Amino acid sequence: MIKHIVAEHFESAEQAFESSKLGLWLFLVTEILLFGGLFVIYIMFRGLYPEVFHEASHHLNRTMGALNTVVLICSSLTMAMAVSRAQHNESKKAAVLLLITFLCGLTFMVVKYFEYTHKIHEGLLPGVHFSFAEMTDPKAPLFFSLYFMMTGLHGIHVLVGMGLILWVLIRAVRGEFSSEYFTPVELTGLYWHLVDLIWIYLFPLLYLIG
Amino acid sequence: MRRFLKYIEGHETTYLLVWVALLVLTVLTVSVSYYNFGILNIVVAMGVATVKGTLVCLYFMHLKYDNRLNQVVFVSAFVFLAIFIGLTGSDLFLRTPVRSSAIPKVSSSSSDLIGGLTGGSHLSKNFSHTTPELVKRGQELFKVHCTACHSLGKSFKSETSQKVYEAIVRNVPGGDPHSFSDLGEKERWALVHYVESLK
Repeated sequence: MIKHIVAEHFESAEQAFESSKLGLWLFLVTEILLFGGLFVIYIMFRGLYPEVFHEASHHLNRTMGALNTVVLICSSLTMAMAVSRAQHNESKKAAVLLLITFLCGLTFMVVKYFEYTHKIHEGLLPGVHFSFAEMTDPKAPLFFSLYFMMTGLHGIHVLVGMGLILWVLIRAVRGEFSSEYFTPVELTGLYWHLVDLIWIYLFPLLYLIG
Repeated sequence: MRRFLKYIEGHETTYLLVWVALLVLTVLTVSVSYYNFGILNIVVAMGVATVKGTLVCLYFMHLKYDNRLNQVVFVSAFVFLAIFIGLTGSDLFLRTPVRSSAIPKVSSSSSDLIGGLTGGSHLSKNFSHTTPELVKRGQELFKVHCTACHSLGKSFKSETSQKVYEAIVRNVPGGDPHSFSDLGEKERWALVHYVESLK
């Protein structure tokens, strides 16, 4: 096991941990406001054109959306478990749980890939690229602009989260975490749960209208 | 160090219960979406999502056991989001079009756009005749204000001159859902002339 050294400018390991955590919470606030802009656009346009959103939503694949919701919820559980194991000096178990979390993220992205491919094939695309013959309403591309912007930005977050998980996974395998020092696992966990939290709202808003 | 460790003890059973609750709520929200309760659908969907989100924050993110500062910081994000949604929504949905009463009604018997529109109006006579300058200005404005929705739709091209005028210049309720109240008299006329020039 590698002994973690607390940086000089902190009084204790606890203070160092709490400072890092406050920093991450502040970052999560900016994340919510970043997605918030898109949510505001969504709410306003849905308020203006409810029928268009209703119809367009039927062209999303509910089963795949629901599957991804379940995948992310499971990954949140394994992530929370991994943090707990790391805190209990069980780095190996934490590493296994982190690996499962990573694979859940990968599954999410694969499902998303199939969804996107299908949308591109059908011509259900944003703005001027929209070429789906069954929907003639000129506002229909708006829904798909929002769909791709919101799920796309979320997808980028999933990829970043997977990268972070891989990084803490390697460090866990090296046995760098213990009850004295587990800050990176804890913070990666918080970030990953936020990604889950955003999807919890995206799923009903985009897939389950009407 | 004790406070540091406080929230790490014995929460794995809680995690499992939260996980089960999240899965049950997901099944609930999907199955409810197949029934039509009108406006209640969105209320139920957002209600369930909020319960799920709260569970994730409180237990998976340990916010329940975290210190008060972190709790306040995180909740503040939603306060600001509510302000963002509230002010934007009230502007978009509650603003009443201004000046529409100050602009004259079109004589419905008129077949000539210009003749019908200028009758007795001192407000609009400066802009009611089409000029290359107005059409050009209209084209610029169209790019900014209209192309987001009208890029594909050719529907407005088939509208009568009177409808175009009423929608843009007078901002008649029930016409185009967009508010033109932030555009001046000249800009609205420029849009009318540009749309007319497309026909």
